[in-house]
Amino acid sequence: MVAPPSQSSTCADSSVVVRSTFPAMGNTAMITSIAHSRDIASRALLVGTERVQMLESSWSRFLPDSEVSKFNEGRQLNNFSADTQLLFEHMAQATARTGGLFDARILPEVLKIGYDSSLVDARRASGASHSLAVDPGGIGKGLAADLAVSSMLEHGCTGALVSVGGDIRCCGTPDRDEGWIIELQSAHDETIIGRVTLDDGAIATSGFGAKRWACLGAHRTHIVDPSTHASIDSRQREVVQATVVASTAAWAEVYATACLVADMPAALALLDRAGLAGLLQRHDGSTFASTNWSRYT
Amino acid sequence: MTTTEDRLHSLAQRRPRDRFPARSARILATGLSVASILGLASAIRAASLTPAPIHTTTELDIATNPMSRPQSSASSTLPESTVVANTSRVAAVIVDPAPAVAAPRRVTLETPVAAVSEPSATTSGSK
Repeated sequence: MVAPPSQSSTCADSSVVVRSTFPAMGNTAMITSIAHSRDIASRALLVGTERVQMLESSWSRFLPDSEVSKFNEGRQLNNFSADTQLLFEHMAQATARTGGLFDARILPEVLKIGYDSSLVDARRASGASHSLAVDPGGIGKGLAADLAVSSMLEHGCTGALVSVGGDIRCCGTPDRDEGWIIELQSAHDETIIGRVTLDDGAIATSGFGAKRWACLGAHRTHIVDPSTHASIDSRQREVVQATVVASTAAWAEVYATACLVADMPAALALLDRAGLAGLLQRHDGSTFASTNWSRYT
Repeated sequence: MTTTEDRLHSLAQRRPRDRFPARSARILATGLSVASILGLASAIRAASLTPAPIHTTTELDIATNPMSRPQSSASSTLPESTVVANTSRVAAVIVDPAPAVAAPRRVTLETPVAAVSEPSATTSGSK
């Protein structure tokens, strides 16, 4: 069971707020650090920044020396860092909890459909000594946000928010009285289609919007259906974007991706079974919320 | 009554305030109360009408103020932009749009940082 985050009711006290943005994991990362002194807030900000950058160097499949790249070449998992082993544990649990709707073991399929603008060689991946080749993708971003927030709090900040490509984890003193306020962007443009307020929790969005390309006459997306091992054609799906609120960014990302694969009825059932909240956006721009969604708006 | 007492009595009769001392004291006390309330109300109104400073600028020299930037090992890299806010809701902010460089630079302190409606972050599927 993935615990939902608590709702916001606390107010921001007199604090120092420090923010930074930087490129990470193929996207933009944004970190907010709050503490009673600028020194502590700044130090925690740097800790969070370095944590995200270090995790990227370990988990990126676009870096030939990353642990994930080495795993895809056949290296054994027990040689890797505790963070990477935690990532693989999450990936395994994600597949089990979503009934296979989320499956990171689809790198060969992702490469086959043309999403190969990386340093990873598909032939190396398929010829590895073990049969697995993984693409941490979204779950890596979410888990990175979770781990960075944890490290920041250990270094004395009273509140922290880390967003890696929109996979957001927040905890502690928020940057405004109402709580951590997260806006949801439409799959089609920059329109804001929703707003949630969190105290301690996470939110992630998965969609077809950003990464679509034409391949062999078909419109491909980076989302692969694990059951068919084929890229999902977003034009044939009712749901084009899924946002999920969960206790951690890793789980929010897992369930958001699973909702995209499952499509509308199965996605809503999946969220209800897990006790999570989600907002699904349809092709026509309209949205449909899960049962628990109103708790966070 | 003695002559002296008569004179005192007649003097007292010629001074109305002294004829009803208790009533005079009440009137005086009431007057003072009203005056103090009016004065206090005026002071409060004046204070509330005074516009709060909405934008102040202070320059901080990062090179001479180690607190104004994160400190870490030499291999550490600073983020592209850094925003610092001193706040009880966000009262002040340091905006540093410059990329991380080792050379000293100046940043601008602005107040206030952001509209209340501005979100803490935005999530989207564009990743």
